This record gives sequence, C-alpha cells and structure tokens, in this order.
Amino acid sequence: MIDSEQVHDTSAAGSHRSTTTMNARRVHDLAGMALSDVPQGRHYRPAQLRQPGQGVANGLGVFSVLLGLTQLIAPDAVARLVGVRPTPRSRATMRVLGLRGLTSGAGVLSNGTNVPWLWTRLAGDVLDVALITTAVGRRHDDRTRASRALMAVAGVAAIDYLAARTSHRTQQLFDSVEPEATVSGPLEYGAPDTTASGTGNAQTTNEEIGHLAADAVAAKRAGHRKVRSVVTINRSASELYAYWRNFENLPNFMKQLASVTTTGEGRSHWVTRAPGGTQVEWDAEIVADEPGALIAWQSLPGSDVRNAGTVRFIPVPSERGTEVHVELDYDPPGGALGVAVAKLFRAEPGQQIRDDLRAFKQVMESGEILFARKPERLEGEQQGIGALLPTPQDAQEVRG
Amino acid sequence: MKANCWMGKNTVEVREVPDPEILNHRDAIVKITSTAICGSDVHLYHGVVPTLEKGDVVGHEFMGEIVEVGRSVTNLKVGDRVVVPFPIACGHCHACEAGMTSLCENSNPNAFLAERAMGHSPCGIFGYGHMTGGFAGGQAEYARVPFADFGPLKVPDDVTDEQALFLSDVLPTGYMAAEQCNIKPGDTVAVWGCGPVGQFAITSAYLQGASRVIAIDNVPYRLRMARERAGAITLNYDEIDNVIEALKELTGGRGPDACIDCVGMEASGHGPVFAVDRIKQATKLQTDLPFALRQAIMSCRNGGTVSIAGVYVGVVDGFPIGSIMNRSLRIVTGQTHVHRYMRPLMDLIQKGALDPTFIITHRMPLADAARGYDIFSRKLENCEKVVLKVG
Ligand SMILES: NC(=O)c1ccc[n+]([C@@H]2O[C@H](COP(=O)([O-])OP(=O)(O)OC[C@H]3O[C@@H](n4cnc5c(N)ncnc54)[C@H](O)[C@@H]3O)[C@@H](O)[C@H]2O)c1
Ligand SMILES: [Zn+2]
Ligand SMILES: [Zn+2]
Repeated sequence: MIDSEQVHDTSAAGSHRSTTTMNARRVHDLAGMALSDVPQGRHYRPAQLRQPGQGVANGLGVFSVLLGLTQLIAPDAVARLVGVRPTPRSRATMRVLGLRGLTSGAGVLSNGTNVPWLWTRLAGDVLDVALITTAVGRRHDDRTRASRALMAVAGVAAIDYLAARTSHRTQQLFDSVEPEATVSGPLEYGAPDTTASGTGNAQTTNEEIGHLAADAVAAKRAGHRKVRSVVTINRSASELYAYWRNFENLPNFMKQLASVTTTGEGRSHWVTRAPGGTQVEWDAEIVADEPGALIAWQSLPGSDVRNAGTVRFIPVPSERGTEVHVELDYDPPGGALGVAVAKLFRAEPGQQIRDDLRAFKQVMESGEILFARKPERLEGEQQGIGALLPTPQDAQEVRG
Repeated sequence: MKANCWMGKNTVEVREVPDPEILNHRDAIVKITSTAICGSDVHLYHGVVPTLEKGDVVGHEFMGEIVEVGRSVTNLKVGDRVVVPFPIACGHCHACEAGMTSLCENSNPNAFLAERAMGHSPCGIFGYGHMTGGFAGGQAEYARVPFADFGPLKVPDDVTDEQALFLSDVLPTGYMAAEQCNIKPGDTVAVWGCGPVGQFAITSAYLQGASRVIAIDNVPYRLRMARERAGAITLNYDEIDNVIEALKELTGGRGPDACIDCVGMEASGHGPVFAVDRIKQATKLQTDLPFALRQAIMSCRNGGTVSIAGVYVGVVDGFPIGSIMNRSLRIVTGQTHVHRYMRPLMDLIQKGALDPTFIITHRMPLADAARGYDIFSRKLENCEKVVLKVG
C-alpha cells in the first residue's frame, strides 16, 4: 500500500498533475480495469469514443438493408424504378443484388466502422454500376431513368468510398489513444476503494467526479496524452513485479528506450533511442511502489518530456497468470523535440505500448523476443533487444 | 541456398536466397532432407490467403538434420534427425501449457495483423504469409526453426524420412480432426475431401473406433485410395444430386454421428448455390467457399459433431447457423496442435500400427517444386502427395 502521508491531493490542479504526485486512488483508476476490480452485478461501460464516421456508416448500413430487402421482395418494381424492363433475368439479378446489399448492410451495422465491411459495400456499388451500365446500353430500356439510377448509385458509391477512407484513418488514429476526457469508465460502477481490500464497493462521490472531469478538461487543453494497455502473462505477480521494478530491464522490451540508469532513492535516468537524431532524456522518480502489485513513476520537474507511468500486477484466479495493466501519460512538447517525441510514441501511441507489453510477455514467458526475420539494424543502438540475441560465437558454427 | 518462393498467383519458383541464420537463443538451423507440398500450400499458391508476399519462401512440412543450435537449445545437438511441427510454439505460455500449441501467444511477431482480421492471433507458422509471422518456410535447403528446444521431435534411426515426414502436419491434422469428434464404438463418420488430410482423417477415425467411414470427393483416383488404402465407403458427389440425401440413405435416415471437413476454403461444386457462392467470392462479399462445410453441417445427425480441418481464412455467406443451433450440433476446429500428437503417433508408426507412407504418389527433387505444385493442385497424374527430396 502507498503511504498516504506522501501523497498530495492533486485533483484540484489537473494541469500540473504530471509534476506533482498522484494520489493512491487515482493511480489505481488510471492503470486500467481488471475484472477483479469490478464487483459482481455491476454495469461496466469502458472509456470509449464514438468514432467519427460512425453516423455516416450506420446510415449507409440502414440504406443497404432497406434497398436489399426491397430488391428481394419486389425485384420488378425496383427494376422499373431504375429503368430496366422486368424480365426473369432482371428479377434474378435484382435478387442477387438485394442479397448483396442485405449482407453488406448488416455487416456495416453490426461492425460499425469496421473497414472491411465498408469496402465490401463499395465493391457492391461497383457491381451495381456495372449492371446498370449494361441496362443503359440496351435499347428497349428507359435510358433516362437508368442514367438517373446510375448517378444515384455512383453518388452512394462516393459516400461509401469516403466513409471507408475516413473510417480507415480514424480507426488507425483511435485504435487505442484515448483523450483524457474518458475517465468515465471506472466511475461507471464506482471507483474501487483501494484503502480497504482493493475490491471494495465504495461509490465515487459527486465531488470526485467533478474533480476528475475538471482534470480531464484541463489535461485535454494542454494536449495531454494517455495510453493504456493490458496483457496477461503466465508468471506470478511477484516475478513480473521484480523484473519491472528494476527499471534497467525496461529497455529489454521497450524498444524505444536506449537505457534506463537507476540513480538511487527511487530515481532513474531515462534515455531514448533517438529516431531523428534528437536525443530525448529525462529523470524520473517512483511515486508509488507496492511490492508484487503496483509501480508508478513520473518525470521530475524540468524534464524534456513530462510523463508518468503506472503498472499494476493483478493475479488472475485459478492460476491463470497475472494481468499486467500499464498506463502512460505524457505531454508532448513543441518544436523539434515534439517531433522527436511523436516519433518515439509512433503515430499510434497505443500501438507502441501494446507492442511493448507483448514483448514483455515474450521475455517473461519464452525468454526472448522472437524475430521473424533478421532485423535491418542490429548495432549497439539496438542493444536492448540485441542483448537477447546470441553473438556469432554463441552459435555453434558448424555449417560448411 | 535454394528455396521455393511464391512469385504470384499460380507461380512458385526455386530461387537463390540468403542462408538462414540463428537470430534467437532458442533457434536451430535444420538442413532439410525431405519436405512436402500441402493443401494449405495450394491455397497460398492460388493467392487466396492474405498477406503472402512475392518472394516469400513457402513450405511447412519438413524434416532434416540439425546443423546449428542457439545458446539455449540444450536438448538437440548437431547431427540429430528431426521432424518439425508446422506451428511455431514457445512451450511456456498459457496456450502451450494447455497443449494448444497452434494458439501459442508468443510466436507471431505480427500478431497485431491477425488481431485486426480475426480478433485475436493464432501462433506463428512457417511459410504461411505475414499474418502468421512471415517466417521463411521449409521447401528449401535450410530452415531456421525458432523455439527448437520445444518443437522438433527426434526421429529414431529405424524410422525413415517418409514415415516421419507427415508428423509435421497432415497426419496429426487428420488425427486431431477425428479425435475432436469423440468417436464412440459404432459411430459413423463422414469425411469431405480425399486429399492427404482426408485420407488420414479416415484412417484415424477407424483407429479411434468408428465402425463406418464414408468419404466424399469427386476425384476418382483419390476416392479409390480412400477405399483401397483407408477402408472408406466412397461417394462421388458428381454422381449424386444430393449428398445430404445420400448420407441419410446410408445412415438409416439419421445422418452421420460426425462430419469432418477436409476440404477447406476452395471447395468445388456445382449447381446454382455454388454459382452464387463463386459470384460472392469474386465480388469480395465472402473470402471463402463454404460449399463442403455447409453440406457437412446439414448432413450431420442431430446432436452430432462437425469437425473442420480444412482451412478457412475470412468470412462466408449463407452459413447455416440455424441448422447448428436448432439441432444441437457441436463445432470443433483449429489449426492442428501438432506438438501434442507427434510422439504418440510416432509410437504407432514404430509399432507398425500406422503406415502414413501410403499417400505418397510422387517424389521429386526440390528443383521440380513448380511441377509438383502444378500436378498436385490440378490433380494430374493421379497425384495425391508430393515429397520433395532435398540435397
Ligand atoms: N487444420 C490444419 O491445421 C490443417 C493442416 C493441413 C491442411 N489443412 C487444410 O486441409 C484441407 C485439405 O488439405 P489436403 O492437403 O488434403 O488438400 P487437397 O487439396 O489435396 O484436398 C482437398 C480435397 O477436397 C476435395 N474437394 C473439393 N471440393 C469438395 C467438395 N465440395 N466435397 C468434397 N470434396 C471436395 C478435392 O477434390 C481434394 O481431393 C486444406 O484446406 C488444407 O489447407 C488444415
Ligand atoms: Zn499443411
Ligand atoms: Zn506458447
């Protein structure tokens, strides 16, 4: 347990948060949810954003389903509508198109902005255009109507294309980056009372909610970023804690770090690999430390990049390993440094932390980070991972 | 070294590529002596498996001799003969400890790709595209084998290459496909597809106590092998209008107790349903052709088991979920957890209770891989299984 004496209440001054210590409850809230945190019989609403483009996508889904149904039930009417004279052949074609619309529409609706489904719709649109173009080319059909239908379908295709494109981009962007204003997840069922057993039922007061919200707004304005991820590892919480607690091990699985040097009294010096030549470094201190359960650290005032991190180790019942929840907060600085930092956390910061956790799991379970093929650079620069690689002498050179 | 590379749809080419190297402590390098072409390679060959890239070394059924080991591999030494399981597995994660090695959580460096497509990722696989890691495959002179201290099985001196080779994939695959059906004495089992996996599913179903195995295909020489070598009762679906009705007739109206799909995503067929399936696949409304799978589901007796060994990669349309739900069917499937079957099956082979070599119809040098793919995929020259001899 964290010594509550050390802890300053920071909730009123959210924008300064990364330079002051977090209180114990916040530390737990921020490190993501474990199922064991959620009392039985409670509703859980994860912190989630409605993705931009969702509205358009849903509209398209409904349109698809309705059109599909009409084509199936009344193929002749639809044929006449688009200027094609109903024949047994047109009827069959309409039904195939209807089936197509129905499936892709249902797909879009049930998968939201799931990109493959939107592309599926687009593929269908192209099919429609092709079929109607054939109709336009035929003499006995009503060309004006068919042309009008063609324009309509082309229009829908354009919207589909845009929706697919936007969703593709937003899906990349929002995959796991959660702007600060989403602390609502933990509050949905009441924050766990960490001063008691750790899984208590204490309801969060309105005041706390107010503080958190104010915090969130301030942080969002300051460009504050927060990413979190979780992985389950087939090792005990104490083993995982021990490896992580020695911060000098972190570069073994966080490939953006060149080194971490511990300097005593819970302090450490972090140096990143310099992607664009700009070296980024900072000093950090441990602000919470519960052996076998939790470590929280944050950069010292005056650091290049203000940042904080929390890792929680939660044993899964019935010997199913340990959940490792990580959350990182950082304020991207401006200027050249900002660019370097952005590269550091990649365009998708969430992806970086997910990769790091997966690498942590590999190191702890299988003893190494598996390469599929030879990495491009393996110089001293990549020491952290290189350290896990055998030197040429290690391998028995026997092949002639 | 020389290796068989995928160079685009319906094209493979044996080319000069860099020799593999030890990259991790638990790696070993195997000098390959025998390697085979699998039905899964045919899906890759046809370009229907996503994320395969031009120039990728393919092949996942291989065996050979250890020529180099990484620092942590202490159970193998240079000169050992080994057969290598196609799933790459670490041996220590939750899935591996549960014996489900094709679900290893640490062997797919591109797990994030698989997660996008499937929700969660399976294991890494040799020569099977980048969604399963992009590992170089085993239709080559040498292969790098990760987690070599866990995967490869030593081959005793009295077991030949041809007897051991299929432990890498198709023999355990047929065996697991049957085992997952919990066959009880007296059960009737139907097997779709008489390729190598189907032949071994038939053989295994009998080993596991089935009283009758019915095999379905439309390739006469493959049906003959299923009859004469595996002991199945065969049905040619080209000769019958309705496979489901034919199976009802043979099973007193109830349907087979277990139905095994050893066909996969490129099923062939005829009739309007098949035509619609092809249109949907061509327009990307579905990636896979569920023709055989649908029959397997519809044919299965109430409360029976449908086992899917054939490979599927994406989505299908017109999946008869109502038939499954309302009739209490059980669906079992998966990439094979090869590791857990290798030793027991090796025992059966050594005891003479099982001879997997009956499926081999063609032996040729690695250099002829392209010809091997051609005749195996187009079912020419009565080809059932091609073994490529290396070195
Ligand atoms: N689950 C696994 O781990 C695993 C391992 C190996 C292979 N596989 C898969 O198993 C399948 C079979 O592999 P194989 O090596 O035997 O391949 P194969 O291509 O030699 O065999 C497939 C057989 O199915 C027959 N067939 C096609 N359509 C059919 C239909 N509608 N009804 C009945 N039969 C039909 C073909 O004529 C052919 O004989 C492939 O999909 C392959 O990818 C899965
Ligand atoms: Zn295979
Ligand atoms: Zn594993």
